[in-house]
Amino acid sequence: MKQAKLAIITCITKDKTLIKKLAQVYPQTNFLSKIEEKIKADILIIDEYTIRSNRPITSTATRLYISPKFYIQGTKKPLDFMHLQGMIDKALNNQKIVPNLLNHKTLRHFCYETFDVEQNICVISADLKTSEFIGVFEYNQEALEIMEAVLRWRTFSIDRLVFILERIPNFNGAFVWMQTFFRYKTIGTGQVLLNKKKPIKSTLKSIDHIFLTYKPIDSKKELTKESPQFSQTCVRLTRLKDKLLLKRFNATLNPESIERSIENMDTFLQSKKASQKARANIRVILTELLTNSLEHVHIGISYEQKQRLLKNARLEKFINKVLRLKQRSSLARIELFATTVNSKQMYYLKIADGGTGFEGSVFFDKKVPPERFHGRGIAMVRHISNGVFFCKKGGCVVVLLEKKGLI
Amino acid sequence: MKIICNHNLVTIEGLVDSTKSSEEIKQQIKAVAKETQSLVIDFKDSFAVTSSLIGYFLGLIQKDKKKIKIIARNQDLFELFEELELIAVFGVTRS
Repeated sequence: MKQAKLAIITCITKDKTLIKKLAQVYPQTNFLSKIEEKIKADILIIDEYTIRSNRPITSTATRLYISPKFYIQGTKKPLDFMHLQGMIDKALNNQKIVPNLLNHKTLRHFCYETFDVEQNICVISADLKTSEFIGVFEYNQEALEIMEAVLRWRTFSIDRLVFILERIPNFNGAFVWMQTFFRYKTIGTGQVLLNKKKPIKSTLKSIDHIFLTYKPIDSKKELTKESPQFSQTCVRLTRLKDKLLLKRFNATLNPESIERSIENMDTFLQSKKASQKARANIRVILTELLTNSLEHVHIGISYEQKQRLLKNARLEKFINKVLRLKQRSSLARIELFATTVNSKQMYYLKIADGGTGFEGSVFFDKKVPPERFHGRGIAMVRHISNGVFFCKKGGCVVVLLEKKGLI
Repeated sequence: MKIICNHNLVTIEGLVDSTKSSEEIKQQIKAVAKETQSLVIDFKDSFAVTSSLIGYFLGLIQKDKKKIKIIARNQDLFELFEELELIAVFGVTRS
């Protein structure tokens, strides 16, 4: 897979009034620059509403603007994904795309004043002086389609997805988001912002039980906040309806007790005739996550400190010393639930350890250099599961697992 | 889990799915590494390893300047190394 970073920023809505509203919010917030700063992407795929902003885009990334009204020379053909792939390839190799004199201002003019129908996509190179138009698209959620296509190619990695989700009857971005993350584990980070105070019934219904923020939020507030919103790679799972608790127990955070807890879970899974592979996966997942809880929550070892301790072969001694000195023990609560995700039976393993959170990108960064002796645990859990989700403020991690072979 | 050591070849049969199994492997490899500069670690059955074991292997390469070659016979394990971008570091092969 190429090392190129690709980000997609999309607004899941067809509501023109909303698009205008978002465009009003956007210039005041440096929303896109925040994304750009954090991602340092080679390519950005930017959905329609961002084009309406007056703010010039300063990123050095090649951008693929997706415009609702872009129309080229009267052709109406479905988006040619092979063509798009070629465009991205060219952009990555710093090749000029078809010469065109469009700049940001004229782009906006073309998008919103000149043409009047259908979707289109405009590829703009980093210097804003060259562009390519890709044919009319037949489906409205083109950003998602592009994302899916890009992921299917498996030649690029998507670094981050940001969806702005609104009150949309009969369509749900979170659902697509979730499905995409299940299907393609190569996506680095995802985030959904919700901008209504009350949960949207149709939205909640269509996403079954997974909601991606703790509570629906005011996106304007969210966007204007100087918060580390975009540096966090974590999302929160809540509203798990129709869940069935299968097993719950506490583990004291010390090496012996962690081993016993894992055995406890394994005995339970064995009694339920779980397959050997499913049991082994859960043992690895619990080993990784409870070790993290022990080291980073109970002992309080930082990422850098762990590297130093490992380098000097002192980690085990250090942990034992701190455990001897600690007067209080900490507990992690482990729960295994059965649930349904879009009619698919799944399980989720929840571990709550009372931690205060962390810089998620550290853990989701799959490119931990070989000089680092640690930092791969979460990537491993993600590899053997159907998804790993963290509470935004720390303290809880949820691992989704398919039913296959489990119980 | 069973660990068989033969000169510089360490064969691991069964699953590596806990801290305990990882520690056992570390102890055996530590003993072998005293005698040789290059090691071949053959995971016959396991489809996963712990991150602590991976860290240990990296330590052997980085700190102790050992050469390590890993045989990941299980496809899932091979893909895990691939995902972690460690194929080249450990010269991971399928057989």
